[in-house]
Amino acid sequence: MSTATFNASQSAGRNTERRRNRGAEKAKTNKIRGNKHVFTIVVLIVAMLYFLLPVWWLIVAATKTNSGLFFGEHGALWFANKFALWDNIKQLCTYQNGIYWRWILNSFIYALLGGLASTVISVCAGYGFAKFQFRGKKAFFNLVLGALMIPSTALVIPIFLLMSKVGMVNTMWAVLLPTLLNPMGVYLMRIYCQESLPDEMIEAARVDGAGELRTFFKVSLPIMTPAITTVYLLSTVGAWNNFFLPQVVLTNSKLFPITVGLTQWQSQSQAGAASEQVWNLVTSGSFISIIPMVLAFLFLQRYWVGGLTAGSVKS
Amino acid sequence: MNKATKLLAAVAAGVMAVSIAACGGSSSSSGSSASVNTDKTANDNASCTNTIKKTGVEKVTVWAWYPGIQDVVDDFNENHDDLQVCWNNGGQGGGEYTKFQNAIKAGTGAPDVIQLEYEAMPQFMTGNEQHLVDLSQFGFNDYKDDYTAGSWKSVQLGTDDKVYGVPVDLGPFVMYVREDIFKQYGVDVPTTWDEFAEAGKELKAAGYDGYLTDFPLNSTAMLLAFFAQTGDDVYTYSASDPTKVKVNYNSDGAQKVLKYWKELVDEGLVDTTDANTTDWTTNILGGKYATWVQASWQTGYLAADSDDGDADSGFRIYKAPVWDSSTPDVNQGGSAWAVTDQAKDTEAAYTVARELFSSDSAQKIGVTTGGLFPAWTSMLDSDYFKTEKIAFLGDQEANEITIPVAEGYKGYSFLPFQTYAYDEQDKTLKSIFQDNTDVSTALSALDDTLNNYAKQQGYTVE
Repeated sequence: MSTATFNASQSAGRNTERRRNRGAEKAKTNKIRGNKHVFTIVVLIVAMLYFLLPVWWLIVAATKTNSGLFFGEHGALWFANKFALWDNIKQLCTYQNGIYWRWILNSFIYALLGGLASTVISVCAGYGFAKFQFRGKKAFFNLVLGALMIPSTALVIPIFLLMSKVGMVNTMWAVLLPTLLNPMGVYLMRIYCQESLPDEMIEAARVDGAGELRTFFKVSLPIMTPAITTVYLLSTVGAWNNFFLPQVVLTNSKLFPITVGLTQWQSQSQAGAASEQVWNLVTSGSFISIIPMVLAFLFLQRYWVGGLTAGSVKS
Repeated sequence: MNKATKLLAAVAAGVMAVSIAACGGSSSSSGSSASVNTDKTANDNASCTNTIKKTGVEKVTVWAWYPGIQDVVDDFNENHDDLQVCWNNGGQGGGEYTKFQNAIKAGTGAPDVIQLEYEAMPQFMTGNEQHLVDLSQFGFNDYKDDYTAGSWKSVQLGTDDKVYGVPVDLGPFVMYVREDIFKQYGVDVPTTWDEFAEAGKELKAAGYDGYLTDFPLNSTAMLLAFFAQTGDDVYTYSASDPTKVKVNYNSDGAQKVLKYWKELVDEGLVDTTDANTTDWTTNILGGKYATWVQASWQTGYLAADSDDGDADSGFRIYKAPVWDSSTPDVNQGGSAWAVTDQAKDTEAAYTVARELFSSDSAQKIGVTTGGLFPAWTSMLDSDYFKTEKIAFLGDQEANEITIPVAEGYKGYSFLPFQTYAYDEQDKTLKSIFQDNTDVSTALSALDDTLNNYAKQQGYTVE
């Protein structure tokens, strides 16, 4: 934690300095600046609308009934006369025996547990790559870098075939095990260890008589905490949004994460035949399913930014 | 041209030739039929979406997406002491087929019994890919009279005495008519296609500002039903000779159908909005279409999207318009239970496939909860079904119209690469109706495309 606080105060200092400089220039360029501001603000507003409109639509759609979605009195972007959010949530609790909440629970399991396990592996691997010399280190790290280039969707069918061979298809393991593979996390951890964890500190710990494990837990791990949090967040969000893999390897709907479950409801609604139409549950279910991620984003914002910039500057 | 360049050119040409030849592939017919297994305990630990009612009993795994299927499965499990069904939803149509294909590739993971639409069955019974079990070996032919002629023919897949599925539901092709609109503008409900076109003009002349109907450019199975009405077979395929196909989009029937609709669309009488989209739903429920020619299962779909599915919508079901007195009854959609070659205990799987919907209680769940149109003759003959009043259709006893259509339907075949054919058909429709390509030109191009594709896939083309 200490590093993070230090970084924060340092950058705050830089900002004050910049502001002072700006103040000096201000008088000269005020006019041009004003026009520029208008332009910037317009662009930002347009961009904001562009990004927020779908979210707004989802919020509005979540409050509609099935027919309200098609025939809402005030169009797609405003609430219909009948406000049905509460009814929809009640229906989510009863439809197919409330399987929706099971899906949410599954998503939490896949995201939190899978994310945790993959973080542990990333931390160990990244630390090892950064601080130890061993045979084939370069080759292995290149392998990790290479793995970064392969889109994970391309691996889904091979994973499915492997899982079939070992009889793990249609179990939670089929989703959890592949989540452990997180080359981005390994890469981030290695870079972070190299930059923020001086070899001298580890040397000092060793000289003082600490074993490798003790050095890792007592000296290295505390310094790595910000990066660990970032990797954990990234992998959790990745696992939460994971769709294609569970779609392929799972058949029992009790094991579905929320992404696959909602898709099943959507295609069921679209099927045209006499299927039950649950568009209202698809919209309100989607709305509820983004809430945990929105919360995670709001409360843990600074770690996300940390994740984006980690390793981008070499001191 | 110097020597080196020549050599290079020759090598390049050689590589090209080899790759093209490789594209051709060759799937020789081995004629091997799907294997029969007898492992009664392999499914003991299978993971099921439903709760198994009786423990310690042999389980059969099933994939299906029928609405109300969980109730049907529970009904089966309560009434059986020797077998229990373990059900999962493998996905809706195409999603499930992809999963099934993946399981075939993996050699494991497929269910014992699987719901397949009639049109999807050939792709699992073609060339060396024989993944559905012939049920006649268990005596299923004795039950032939329990199912309508058309549905039975659909699961025979072109063979004489083999059966690859247990028919479940059908989609009798009928016409939904907004009777109130026709009354309001004083126009008679048409019975032939000539009258149909005439009615469109009369409605327009009388001031109706909607369309006579919609001819969706994303229609796939619907178009095949229109073609079948002309008596022409667009596709010919048989599981008894699974390396041979015949594609005939050049037929007079196909040309007649598309020219007819093209004219109506050009005159502005018919809309071309893609079906089952939100726009389309808004249009059809909002009175924009005076008719809608479609399978009878559309009722449930429309009712679910209405403000009040139990209120009279103005729609009534009529017989689909005909070309002349020889126009056959046709069908759009429907599905069957098939037993896969990965079934652990093949005969038990057959029992489940045959018995799942073969009870009055299961049939009633299918009809009421699922909105299925049954292929099971005892249901079609029952007073319960004949006199079923449908609130959405103003309490019409619509099955009086649909039952004869289902019984009159004789069945037709689909291609082992039906999805590809649908995609190409889709493009052809867009080129005819959006780019104004001549109907005959477009159809013969489609015919060529599909024939070439069939050859590339190693089929003999007639």
